[in-house]
Amino acid sequence: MSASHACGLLGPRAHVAPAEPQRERRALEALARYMERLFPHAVADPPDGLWLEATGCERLHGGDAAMAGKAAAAIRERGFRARAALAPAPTAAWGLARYGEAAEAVVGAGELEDALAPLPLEALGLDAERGEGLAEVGVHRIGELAALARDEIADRFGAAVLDRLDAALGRVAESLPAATREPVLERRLGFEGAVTTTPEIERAARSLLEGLLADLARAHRGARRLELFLERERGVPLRRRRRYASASRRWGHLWPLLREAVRALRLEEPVTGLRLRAADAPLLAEKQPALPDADEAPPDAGAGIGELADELTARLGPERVLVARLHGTHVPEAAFRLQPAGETETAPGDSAGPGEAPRPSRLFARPVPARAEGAGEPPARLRFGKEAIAVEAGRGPERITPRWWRWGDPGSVPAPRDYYQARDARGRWWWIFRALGTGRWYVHGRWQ
Amino acid sequence: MSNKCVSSEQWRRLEEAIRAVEGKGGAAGERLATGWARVDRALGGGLARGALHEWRGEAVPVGILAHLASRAARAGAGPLVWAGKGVWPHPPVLARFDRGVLARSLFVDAPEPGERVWAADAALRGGAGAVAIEAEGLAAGAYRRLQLAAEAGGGIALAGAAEERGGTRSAAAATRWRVTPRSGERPGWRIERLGGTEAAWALEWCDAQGHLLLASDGGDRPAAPPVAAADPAGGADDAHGARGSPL
Repeated sequence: MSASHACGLLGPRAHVAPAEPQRERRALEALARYMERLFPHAVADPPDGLWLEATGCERLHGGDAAMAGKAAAAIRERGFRARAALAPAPTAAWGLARYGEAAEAVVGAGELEDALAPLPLEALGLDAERGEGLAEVGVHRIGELAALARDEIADRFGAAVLDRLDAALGRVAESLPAATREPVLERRLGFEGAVTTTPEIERAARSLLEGLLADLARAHRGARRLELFLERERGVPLRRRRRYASASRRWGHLWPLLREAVRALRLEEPVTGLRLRAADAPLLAEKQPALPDADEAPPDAGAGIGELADELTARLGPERVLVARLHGTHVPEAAFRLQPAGETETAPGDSAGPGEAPRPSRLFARPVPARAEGAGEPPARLRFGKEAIAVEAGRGPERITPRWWRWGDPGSVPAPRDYYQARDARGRWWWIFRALGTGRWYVHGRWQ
Repeated sequence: MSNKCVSSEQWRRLEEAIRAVEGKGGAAGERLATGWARVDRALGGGLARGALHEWRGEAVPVGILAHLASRAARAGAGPLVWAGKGVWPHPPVLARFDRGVLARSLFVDAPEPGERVWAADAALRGGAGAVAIEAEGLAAGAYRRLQLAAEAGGGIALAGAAEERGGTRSAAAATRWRVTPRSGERPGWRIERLGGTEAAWALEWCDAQGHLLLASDGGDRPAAPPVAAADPAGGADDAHGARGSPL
């Protein structure tokens, strides 16, 4: 059903929200963590499943049926709908939970074949193409598939179908996927009595970071993002986030930004506790010092720049600490871009060759219109601002044509430009151009 | 030496020893070769690292600052910082100086002199290889602060300023230079060292390689980029003939 169809049916009661697969996935992973209270091993199975290892847990939970009920209830309590199936084979449990009749199914080792027989073939997790092939010959249910001769199945529909069937019926051993979980790197400090002033919070944050750095060192990790939670008596904790240009566990790198975040706080309510979490903490490669090579740029050329960028950004703000990226075009304004240093995940590389055409050591922020006196290209005199250039020698032109598709409105397509290098009477060299459409002259840069 | 752990101090001594063997002068480890052979000879191996050098021109001599900073990057030092829009070089040109120079550059927009000095100070102490700072509007104390920061961090500090505009000339700088445009077939400058032993040389812009060359340089240093001798008259230049280059 499309959104407009739904709105038509429901009228003003319809509430339309975009799907958020990322958030759904995070919620599922959080749910998996939560289920570890009941089961030794819980893994998210996106988009909508959870694997729970239940072997040997039934006595703890008072039997198989009670255990399945408990698992489903634990999830329902948190506001989700849930179906649970307990089976000796993971594939069987997967199919029963999704396609079985009962919301909570418990199947023992001897009952597996009977329980699976009425389920559609989708319950085996087969891809659509294989499922259609089977449907064409009138096989729609697992029971019908199991009744066929084994070698016939493999010959006609592929060995994969047989593998799935064997897995569902528990004829081959299958194990649950391993949980790949990032360690939670978090420290918490509760205050005795509520705190209302930032110096106290700064002191607490300082000791939290000291502890967190030790945790990071033990985990061989570095933080790329720190999250500071201020717990209050009521309501959700306030969160302050700080991103770093590179992952680090150096005090001098992480602390200045965190300190700035704390100092920028405006406390309206007392704070009862503080939590500091390394939200994005990749493994840090332990570096070995490389032999210096005079002719080559060292391989870790970008090392150290991240820390420095963060330190400068902490005080000046992201818009004022920039890195340059090159783009492979001759159009001067588009040949490079300056962007906040913290926004690049990796050290900025030279994506394009720098080229060999004459370019000035300094490019003006934008071309400065100039008044031309005298004929010729370049003209004998150019006046702009307070400067008067008496052109003695010139080189050019270099015709630069902007790529028309870069400009949305066809009416605003800038004209091609003829660029010249011009030397004035004082020996200064300027980069000037004539806009071909209007014939007007501009000064765009200078060798200085 | 065990292969377990080599301290940075040991590295530094090792590099220094290698430089000494290569005949680049005793204290060459503390000097940044400019790549302009005769200038380096006159300076005893190059500009002192861990020191402030002031460059004043009719306009901020961005090209020369870019050349020197890229030499520092070539020698393997840390990040390069351009403090103040006035010293920002044109990025595609900066990339021509050396592979990786642009990747290490941070462009700091700090119109307020106090912030600019703070940024340069932090960068130098934080291990930057070279910091170019727009010197316009800096107080005399700021030069001293930059010199101390450079000493602490070991990087090279380059103050760039336009001749006629504000900023105080300061004795805190290790060397002071005047840059004047020089009429020629391509962009070029006359650089003049002020104070102490005054001397002057001619430089020429080389677009294709993005290098600043000493006009009529004999090209006697293997470490220097390919040299295009522009003026045949300078061929007979002797080792001490700093003043002898045609201006």
